[in-house]
Amino acid sequence: MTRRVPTKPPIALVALAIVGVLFFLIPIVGLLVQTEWSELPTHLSSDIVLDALRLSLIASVLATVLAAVVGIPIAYVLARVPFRGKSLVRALVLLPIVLPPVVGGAALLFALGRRGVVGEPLYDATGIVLPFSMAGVVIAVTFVAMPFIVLTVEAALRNLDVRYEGAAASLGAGSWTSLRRVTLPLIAPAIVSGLALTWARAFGEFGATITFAGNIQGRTQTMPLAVFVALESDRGAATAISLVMVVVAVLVLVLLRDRWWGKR
Amino acid sequence: MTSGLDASFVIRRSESFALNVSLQVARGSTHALIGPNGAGKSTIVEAIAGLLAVDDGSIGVDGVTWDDPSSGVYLSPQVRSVAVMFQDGVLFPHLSVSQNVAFGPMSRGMPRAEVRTRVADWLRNVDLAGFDDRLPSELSGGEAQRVALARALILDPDVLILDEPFASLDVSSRSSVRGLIQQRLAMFKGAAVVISHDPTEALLLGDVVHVLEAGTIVQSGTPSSIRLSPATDYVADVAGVNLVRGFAGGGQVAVGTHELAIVDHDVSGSVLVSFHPRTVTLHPDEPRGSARNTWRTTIESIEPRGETVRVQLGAPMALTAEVTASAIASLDLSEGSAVYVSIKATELSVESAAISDV
Repeated sequence: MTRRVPTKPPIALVALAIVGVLFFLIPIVGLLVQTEWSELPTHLSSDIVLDALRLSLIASVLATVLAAVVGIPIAYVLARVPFRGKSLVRALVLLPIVLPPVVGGAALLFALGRRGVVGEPLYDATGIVLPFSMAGVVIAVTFVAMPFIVLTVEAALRNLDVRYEGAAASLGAGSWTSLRRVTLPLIAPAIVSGLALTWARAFGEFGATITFAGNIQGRTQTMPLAVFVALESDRGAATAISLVMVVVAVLVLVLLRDRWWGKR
Repeated sequence: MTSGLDASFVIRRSESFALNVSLQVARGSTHALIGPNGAGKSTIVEAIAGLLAVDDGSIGVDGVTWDDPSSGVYLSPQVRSVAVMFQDGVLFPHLSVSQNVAFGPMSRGMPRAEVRTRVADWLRNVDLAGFDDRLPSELSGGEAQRVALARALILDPDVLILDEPFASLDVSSRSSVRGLIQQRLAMFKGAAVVISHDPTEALLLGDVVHVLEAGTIVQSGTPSSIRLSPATDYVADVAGVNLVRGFAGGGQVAVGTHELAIVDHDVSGSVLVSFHPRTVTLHPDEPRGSARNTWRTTIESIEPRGETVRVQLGAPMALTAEVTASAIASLDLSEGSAVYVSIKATELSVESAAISDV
């Protein structure tokens, strides 16, 4: 084996990188220092925390499933089907990534609220009210998180060698067989990382949720909302919930380590 | 109606580039297509396979139209009886060897039990029995091409397209895969088209060779007619190579009654010796020098090609030499005159050839 001599990096660059890493490290340390470890079991078993955790898990998982069911087809159409105005459609779908979540939540309220363009006829016809309901939480976090799966899967489809699908077609596979047996398995790593990003974004969503679904404990109060409320009243509970979210986030990173970045 | 592939079509890829070709490949025969990169070779593959529609003309097999814009007929790839062995194989990386070979029959709805027997038969046919559960990433280049060949032929297609079947192979696996392909092509009942940028492979595999340049077929003919009278500079350059078959041993290759000295003392058995005409030098008198291959012959024809002249040489070995026009003048060479030939052993590229080559 030949051993490559590492090039000597500029000192200034390394110094800046260290400052940057500290910037990420210090808040986590702050959180750990503030945590009242002896009180932790009490805080974590409180109704507020358990309700929020349950709601967050259900909403983020449902949102991820919804995003997969609708987002992967969007990605496929954007990558493979030629049509006019595609860049407009792509911009629309990716808008929630750059849009402030509060604005997204407000827009959902205007559209799906009881007086909204879609919300009013929906209420008149079925009696269903989406805002301030658990369904509203799912809609809000899906709106904000789905673009991530679209982005990842579309990029993977564009990078996929078209000859695989050509080979499948010339071997007699129809478009559905080809999709199921060739295309989807080949972009599986991208789907997994896209779903992870989507789930993480959904799990941490705050702005759109509180604007569209409100902050009702046990119904629409997710973990981030609970942290926000607890900061005002009970800092011990706030640190406890934050800690849970950090642990969950780290777990996801570790689980996806190999798939996400490849084994290095 | 002729039986086999009948393709005469135009595809306009851009304002400046149009592909305009006509190919009639009878069942049981193999046509080779050679041409430089960008000549339109892969566009032809895509058009016949149905991955690309033609703009004009038609493609048909055994009298059945596959693609003809004038009558609005276009069969999608999955209903055409065509199999493509793509460059680099393009095996599905997530499927095992047997799943790759089974992909076609399964897609066409063949019963599982029959698929299993057929796959086993075909893995044996390409000398890969026992490789069933390997993944493509665990195969050598030659093994991957064998799998690709089995995957293509298991459907018993009417048309088989081999797209650069040897481009990704190293020299050692090249001759064994070529031997296998020759053997399978000999048994193949449909029409076969081999795409290559390597003239040696094309000349060996094709019953008829077509030379494609800038979207147009500039020359068609038997391998020997292409080799001996190339129509364009490109053909002369890539296909106008000297190819001789012989029997190697101890640093010598016996070609008929003549012996050629070669560099490699280890190679033995049937070989193919190739060398470019410009490496063949001509002398009015017997030369003295380092070139170990020297003999006396006669000039059969002299054919000017711009700055250079192609000189056809007769017995003991039909060869082409490429020399400058001024050399011809200063050596006072003419058709029928005697001349000494010399070739350095280092210029001869020797490749072992499958038994069926000889």
